[in-house]
Amino acid sequence: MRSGKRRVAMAEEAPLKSEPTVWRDNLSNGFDIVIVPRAHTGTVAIDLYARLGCSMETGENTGLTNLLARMLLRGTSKRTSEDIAREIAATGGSIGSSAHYLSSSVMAYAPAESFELVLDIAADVAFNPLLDAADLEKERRVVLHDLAAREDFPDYVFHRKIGARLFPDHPFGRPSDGTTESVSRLTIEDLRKMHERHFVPNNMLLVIAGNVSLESARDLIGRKMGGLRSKEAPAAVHPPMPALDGTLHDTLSKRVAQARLYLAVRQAGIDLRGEYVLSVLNAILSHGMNSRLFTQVREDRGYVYDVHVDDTVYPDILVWGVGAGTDKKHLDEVERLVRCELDKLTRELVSEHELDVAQKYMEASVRRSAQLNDGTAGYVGATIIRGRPLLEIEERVGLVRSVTRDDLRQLAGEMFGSGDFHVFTMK
Amino acid sequence: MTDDRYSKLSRYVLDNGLPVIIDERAVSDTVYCGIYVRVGSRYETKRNNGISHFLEHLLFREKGATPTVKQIEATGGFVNGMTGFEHTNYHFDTLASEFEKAWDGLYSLVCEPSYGEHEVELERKIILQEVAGAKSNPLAIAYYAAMKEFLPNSSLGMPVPGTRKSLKRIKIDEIRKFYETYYAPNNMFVVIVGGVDTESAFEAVRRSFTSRNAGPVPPREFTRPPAPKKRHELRLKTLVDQGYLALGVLTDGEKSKHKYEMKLIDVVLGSGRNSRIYKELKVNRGITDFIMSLADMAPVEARSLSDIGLWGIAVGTPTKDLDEAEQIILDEVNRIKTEPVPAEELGTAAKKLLGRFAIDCETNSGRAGFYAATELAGEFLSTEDYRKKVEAVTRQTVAEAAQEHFEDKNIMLLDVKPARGFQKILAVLRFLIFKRI
Repeated sequence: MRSGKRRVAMAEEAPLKSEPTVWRDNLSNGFDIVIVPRAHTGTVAIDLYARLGCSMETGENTGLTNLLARMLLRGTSKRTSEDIAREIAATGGSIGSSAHYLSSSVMAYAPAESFELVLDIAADVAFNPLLDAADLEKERRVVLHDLAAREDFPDYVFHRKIGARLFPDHPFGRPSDGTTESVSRLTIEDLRKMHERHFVPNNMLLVIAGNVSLESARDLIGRKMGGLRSKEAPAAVHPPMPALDGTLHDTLSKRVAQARLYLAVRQAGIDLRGEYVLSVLNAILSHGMNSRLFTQVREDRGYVYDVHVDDTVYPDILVWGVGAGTDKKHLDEVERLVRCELDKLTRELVSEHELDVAQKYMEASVRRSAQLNDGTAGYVGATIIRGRPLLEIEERVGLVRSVTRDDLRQLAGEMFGSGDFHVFTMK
Repeated sequence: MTDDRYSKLSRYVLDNGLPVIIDERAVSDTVYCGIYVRVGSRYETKRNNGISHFLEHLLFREKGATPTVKQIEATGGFVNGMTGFEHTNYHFDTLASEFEKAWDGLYSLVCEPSYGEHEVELERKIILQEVAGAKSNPLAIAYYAAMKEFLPNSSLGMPVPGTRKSLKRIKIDEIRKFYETYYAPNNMFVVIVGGVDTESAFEAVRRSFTSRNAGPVPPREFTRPPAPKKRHELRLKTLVDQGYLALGVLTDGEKSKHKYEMKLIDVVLGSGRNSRIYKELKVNRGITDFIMSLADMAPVEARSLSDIGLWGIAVGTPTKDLDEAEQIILDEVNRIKTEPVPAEELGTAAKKLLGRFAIDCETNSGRAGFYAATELAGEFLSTEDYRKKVEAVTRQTVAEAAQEHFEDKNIMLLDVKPARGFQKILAVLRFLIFKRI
């Protein structure tokens, strides 16, 4: 065999793979700062969070935090919307804003050499938005169209209905973008009031991950954010889970070429270790072509193209489910097979080999997610906002590795033991 | 802009014609590896439409169990495949320390098939479900309707996974013959990116492929659709609640002398918050932010093939605003054709494009995707080569590209509106009988 080498570029000696090391501190005004220096990358991710999320909304003002997040990019006291877009684009970076269940955020990503400018823009957007009434009307129009357009996507409609049924009259069950009625009602004063109360340094978190020097980043942040005045901010709201009268069995009629099944479990949260046990359980059920659901429902019988497990985990809310798309004549059989696999997990220990494969899968996932600066910043932000302790990569891998076969059977027993699943179909 | 300090890039070609590209990234403790085969739906006819994708599914099967997939997954990796218009890809992403075990599994999966009749029938059922699932997305349906209309009798107008009719027809012998024809080392290449040692990884690939000889792969003969004589419009009324509009033009794909100019025109016109169409449609008029590159609604591979490509933009708007949106897009397309893009705007677009590229290149899979695209294009590039190509674009060459591509006769326009009254009844019947929106 000939091996013709065309090009070889020599690489520099690499830093240790076990980074990042996380630095965390509070400024005197209460601003929570986390910096993860990652010298081997060429970019930087800047995530700025306010502890203001959809959990604070009522049925009347649902969609308020989303609308506020979108309006942040409509201009500040020193930059027009166009200036923001142009200045960010000129660095080669990007900026966005969004609202979640427990937080609102401004997220920027840029080449590391533009760190100072992009941090300035992100802070400007978060702290000095114009919140102009005429802009609100334009943004409202866009949001109302978005809401209407989603009706064309059956999976979105299906999952919105599931959320509403599992969490009646609860912010978790409401669409985060709001409804046509609630968005039409919101005023510029609502937005300004919300911004003034929540976008204060002692209610915020700044996460920086990328090729920045710790010393200079700290100095810069101190100079830019140290002068912001703290103010009393409303405490985070965690509405209790609404009661349900037994298990739900709902069918949504929709013109779809393929029927959908979603089998859900809802419970009041899970602790940190439980979260890692659940991740391994999920891997055994649906990650990879040899996972149990994939093998039983797809490979052996050909009933589905897609069968998957998903979950949403907050300290006080856990929603877990199995989703599948199939021919409507197979819906009952797919449901039976899924139930059977879940039941088996409550009765029998998984094999050592199966556990090892699932743990390796999760380890590779953790390491892969750390390749990107925004993956690293995203982990840090989501962890702190959810009130979990920050862990180094090796500690996370250690937690995955600590999961035992008994842990899995116990958790499966708690979640699936009663067999009381909420079942939703669309056909 | 990409950070290549810890990257060592090599390209080898084995005697049997197999190129092997390895980017050793000492900062990474995972590894992405893909085997690419130069075959996809453009090699099919209406009769066997979907056979490349069918074969891809079947290679993950073995009679009885799936030990090759098991072998890869036992390393902690995930393994998957993807079929496009001109290539099929099999890949894994796993812990770098487990590379050799996973490689052996992937090689066996692609090069030692052992499926039988039973597996073919099971996969046929699964793919029919995949096809049905895809039909729930109105944009994908509109895309294929448009391609069928704009590119009649072309394999580019056929869906990659096939149709219900063609899938039911495909036989195991045809699939085996298809495999024998195209899965030869001189019609394949391997890309490895991650925390591996170059020499050891290359040796693993060489050892596996030693016994495979080059094959007589048929020459690629794609027929380009005839040049349009006038603007082509398709206006559909169907079961949607909102209006959708897409504007596209055909390019010369990877052969185009203006390949990089079209990438920058994409950024200037419709990609990101700083783009002209986004600013006009969202920021100034407040009509919509449902704006995306056409490649987002089309299979990504449609954007740039070996001899043809599709550039375009798609928007979703309330039906009443659709005409206004159409005018805005046409005005902007006309402007870029008649007014040179200011130097500052073009410079910003280049930085934006390279910034996004730098982020993509921070992951092993992102880098591998880039190397594979350039290898498929027959122009293997390093990240630095790519940067130079983008920076070499000038206002003059952008103007030339815009004038060449945006001639009115080249424009294809698709507009989808909700059906009302009798049209709605027809659309419902079409759905009930043909499962087509």
